[in-house]
Amino acid sequence: MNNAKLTEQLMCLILWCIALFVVVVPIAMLYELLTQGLSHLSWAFLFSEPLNSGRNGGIAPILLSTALILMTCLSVVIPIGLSCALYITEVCDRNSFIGKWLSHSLDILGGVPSIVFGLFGYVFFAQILSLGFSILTGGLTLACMALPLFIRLCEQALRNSPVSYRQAAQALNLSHSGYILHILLPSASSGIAAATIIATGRALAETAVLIFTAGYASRYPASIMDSGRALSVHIYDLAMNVAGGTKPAAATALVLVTLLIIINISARYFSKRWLPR
Amino acid sequence: MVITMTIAMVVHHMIKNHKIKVAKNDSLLQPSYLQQNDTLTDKNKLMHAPAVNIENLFVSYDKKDAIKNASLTANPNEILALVGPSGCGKTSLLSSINRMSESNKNCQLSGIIKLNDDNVLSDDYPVELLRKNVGMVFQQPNPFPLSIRDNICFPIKDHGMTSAKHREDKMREVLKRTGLWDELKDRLDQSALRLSGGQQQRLCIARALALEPKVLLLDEPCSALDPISTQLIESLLLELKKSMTLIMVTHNLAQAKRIADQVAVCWVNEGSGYIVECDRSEKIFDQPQSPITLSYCMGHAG
Repeated sequence: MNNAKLTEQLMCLILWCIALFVVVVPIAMLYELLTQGLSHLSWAFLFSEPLNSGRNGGIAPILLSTALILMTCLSVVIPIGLSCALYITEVCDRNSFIGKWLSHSLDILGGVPSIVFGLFGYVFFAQILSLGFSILTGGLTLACMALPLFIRLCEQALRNSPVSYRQAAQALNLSHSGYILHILLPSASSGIAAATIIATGRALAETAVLIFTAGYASRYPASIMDSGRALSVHIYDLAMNVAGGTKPAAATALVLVTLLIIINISARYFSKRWLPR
Repeated sequence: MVITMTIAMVVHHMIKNHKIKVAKNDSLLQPSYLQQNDTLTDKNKLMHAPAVNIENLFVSYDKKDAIKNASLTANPNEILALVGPSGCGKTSLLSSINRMSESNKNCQLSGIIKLNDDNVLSDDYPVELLRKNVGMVFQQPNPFPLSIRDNICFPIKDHGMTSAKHREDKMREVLKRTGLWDELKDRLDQSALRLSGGQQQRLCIARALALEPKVLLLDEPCSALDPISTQLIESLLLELKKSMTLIMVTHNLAQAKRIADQVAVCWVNEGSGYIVECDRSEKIFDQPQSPITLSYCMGHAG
């Protein structure tokens, strides 16, 4: 056997091991979660209040708070993010000063650690705008964090809309707003839906931001001005601060992972529908 | 007090609604300035097929000439075919006529393109008016991802035809003109993307016709289609030339021979395109002046 062939087989083995590692680690994690949490998981767990700092009882108020935080976040992210993506693709020139500046700042914002967004949200929304520890503060801060990702994905979806539609619109001298509302947005809609789902998944998995902004309260939130605990924060709290909280933490993590998997599958479904026409 | 105000508001509301209803239902009651909106007519819009005169046209991308010094004339109610090998600037020439090439920021146009006596390349000729006068059909059929009905109704609505009934009439008229009405009248609400290629291309022609252009530019309209669809479109073009001036790019010499009244042969020299000769179709094919035309038409070159 010559040297080149040996190197090739060695490389193949190394790559195979890396691939195996990438598959095995999440499966091991999932196995751990299942063995720890599955026995704790039941309908009652999903629909009752936590008792004894979460050692007993369920996660119903936490699910509600999480849903409220996500709704607040999305109701800010979708209009602002979509307008921004439309501005980048339709109004401003990619190579102009503003275009370059916008795209750089989006990239940098996308790479900022979430804890920094958390601190910013705490100072700006909770203190300066005096919204306090609340679901509103948490949702708005999460929105700041999810916006760069959402804008980038929407921009991609809008740019993927076929050039031939734009050509036809130009040749027919359609108004720009007519083209955007009736041709561009509908043709990019499944991409935008996928972007929304991916941004939701990102926001759902976030912990650091919410500890600083939405707070810890594990009771049912009275309104979005009330403090509320998100799923990820609940897991963190049970695992770190509550002795004997491992099992409920694992059960909550199972719920979160299931939600994330559902969200990812639906994102995949939407983007598949959107890519090849 | 409050009750009086409420009643006043309700009455006001009723009157307002009533007015809107009258305006929507009975266009005859509209004042003439409102009706003007409904007929796509512009006082500067051409009423008859114009002559298209191109004089000394230069088209360049990034300062590199794609077309050098092109001059030709398309006569009213005739079909002018632009033929020539790939990369000789036929499409650039065609898309200069409705200034589509302007959307490419690196593209520069100079020279004169006249519709009758107006230079459409001058800054005071409005692009909106130009594109109402000059329609365009592309190589790949590109219907919008809307229903068949909306593919035609949406552009004319966008151009200010407010009455749904007028839009419906217009749609029926252009679908009949393009021979699509009998094929499609029962499925107007289906997506246009589900039509066959030939039907899509005829729908695109119908969509352009709905804006009542007097010049139609066609960029290889049949190159993506099968022979039967091609034949349908060719006979459609022969019908259309009775009311407009047609300029088409084609790779298919036989097609040019079949339907064109006039043929312009384009060629490339050192990377830039130019027009070898432009003459009556039978002259180009029977007694060409230039050796390039001769060898191209005989199939020896290109």
